[in-house]
Amino acid sequence: MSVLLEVDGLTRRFGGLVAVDALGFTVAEREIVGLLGPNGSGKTTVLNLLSGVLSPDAGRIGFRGQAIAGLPAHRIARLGMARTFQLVRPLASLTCRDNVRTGLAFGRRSAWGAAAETEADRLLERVGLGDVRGSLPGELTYIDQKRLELARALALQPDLLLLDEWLAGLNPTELDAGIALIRSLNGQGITILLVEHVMDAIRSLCHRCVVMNAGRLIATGLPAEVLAHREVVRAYLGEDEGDRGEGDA
Amino acid sequence: MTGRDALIGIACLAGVALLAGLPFVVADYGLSLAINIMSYTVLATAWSLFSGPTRYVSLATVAFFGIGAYTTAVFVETLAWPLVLLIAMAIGSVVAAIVGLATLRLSGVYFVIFSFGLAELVRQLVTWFEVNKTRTLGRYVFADITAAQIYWQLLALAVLVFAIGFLIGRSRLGLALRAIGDDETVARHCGIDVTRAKVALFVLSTVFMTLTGAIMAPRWTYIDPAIAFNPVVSFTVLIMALLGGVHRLYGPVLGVVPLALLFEYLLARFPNHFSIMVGLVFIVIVYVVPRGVVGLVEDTVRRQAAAKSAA
Repeated sequence: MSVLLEVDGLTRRFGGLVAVDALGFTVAEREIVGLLGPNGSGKTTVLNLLSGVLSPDAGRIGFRGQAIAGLPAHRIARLGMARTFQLVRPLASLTCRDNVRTGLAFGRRSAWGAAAETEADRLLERVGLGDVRGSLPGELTYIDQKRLELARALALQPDLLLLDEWLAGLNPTELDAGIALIRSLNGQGITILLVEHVMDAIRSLCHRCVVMNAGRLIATGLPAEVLAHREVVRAYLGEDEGDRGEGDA
Repeated sequence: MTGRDALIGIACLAGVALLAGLPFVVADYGLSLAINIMSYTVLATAWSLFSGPTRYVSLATVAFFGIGAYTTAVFVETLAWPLVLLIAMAIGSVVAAIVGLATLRLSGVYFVIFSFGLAELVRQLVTWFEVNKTRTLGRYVFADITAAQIYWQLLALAVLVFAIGFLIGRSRLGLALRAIGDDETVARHCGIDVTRAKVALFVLSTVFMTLTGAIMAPRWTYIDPAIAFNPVVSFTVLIMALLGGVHRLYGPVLGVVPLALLFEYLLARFPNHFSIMVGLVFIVIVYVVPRGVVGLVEDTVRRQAAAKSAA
């Protein structure tokens, strides 16, 4: 498996706070990697650095062999990296179909016209929104808005998909459907880096996990291994870890 | 749908033909009123072309309008008229591109203030140049152009601004701008080069403002910086567009017609209290019709439809 994403010495400060501190990890092609850590450990900042919302103060980000640290977000998107947001951000005045068409029109494919409409409908169908193509995002439930955001990200035809707590707030049935959907996207060849707190999802989906605390990398490895790792348990639960077992925070 | 489109197209053509015939049936006063309305139609529609989707409130309208007017004043006696318009377009576009690149990364209120400052800056520069270099503050604009010709040029410009607005609405740029208006960060993550889209639209929008100024200049016969760069123009355009509604192409004109007539009336009846009256109109519009006439109508229609489906 070749390396798709390579992060090395990534650092970002906000004033005196070092949100991401010399972080390094890699993601191989077709992997599903979980980016874990307690609240405030810098996970979303990492996603923002990768996707170009923020530029790093130091460090290197290699994506498909190209240095992308500090590139503007639209260039990174066109290189094949798409993301969803922790709090859903649909384009509120556009219909579901137009939300997806936006990704199609300016992503790698630059699809426009009838072909793009067909493709938008296919993507909405793919995430389970076939019936609400003409609706505005405000009329959808929360989970459907998340699906819409995913469809818009897929419209970019990404090699790497960054999911920021995409599975949070789902009920058990929706969670199963969500996990199946992510797995099938991975089966199609999309590499996935997900920030997640839902441990069931991490165990069943992730090939590998990267765990952060206070901006630093504290563990990396198989999900079961890292979740049993002493440092990880301590980061989630505090000093008095002793007999609590795994870190289901 | 296509039958309806064709009908709308024919209605538009008929409307333009009727408007083109106007100078043959109205007297001087009517024509001057029509010129006023037509010029504000172009300005307000061009303004909302940029400010509607991006939600950047620009007070720089008169900067470009004035650049156009001054270009005419300088070149009208020595160059052919189409050439004058081309030069105005070129100068306006270059200024707009520089300003756009420098400022469209600013957000919200900073842009408003900058755009207002820009108009003042250009006015002061022109004043400085005229006083120190040409040694004359005002200029006479003697052109062999009749009022009816000015009206027709403005009408053509209005047709053009509507046509371009219509085409943008159906283009990739139009989709990009709506996405930017909704959420700039998301737009970037969809692969949209936000800065380039905004600058392109800003330049396009200001070209129409510059041309309006260039075409209008011969109306005055005499201009100086205070006339050509009068900030009231920027505010008037803003309030007209807001009254009509900026999220539809045909919105601003619905604000231009009633306000142009109202201002005409106020100026005749209360010449000394005009500014106060205009200020009151601003406040009333912002409070009563924040989404403009178009928004008001759309909301009413939606409410009635909802009531009907509930019943």
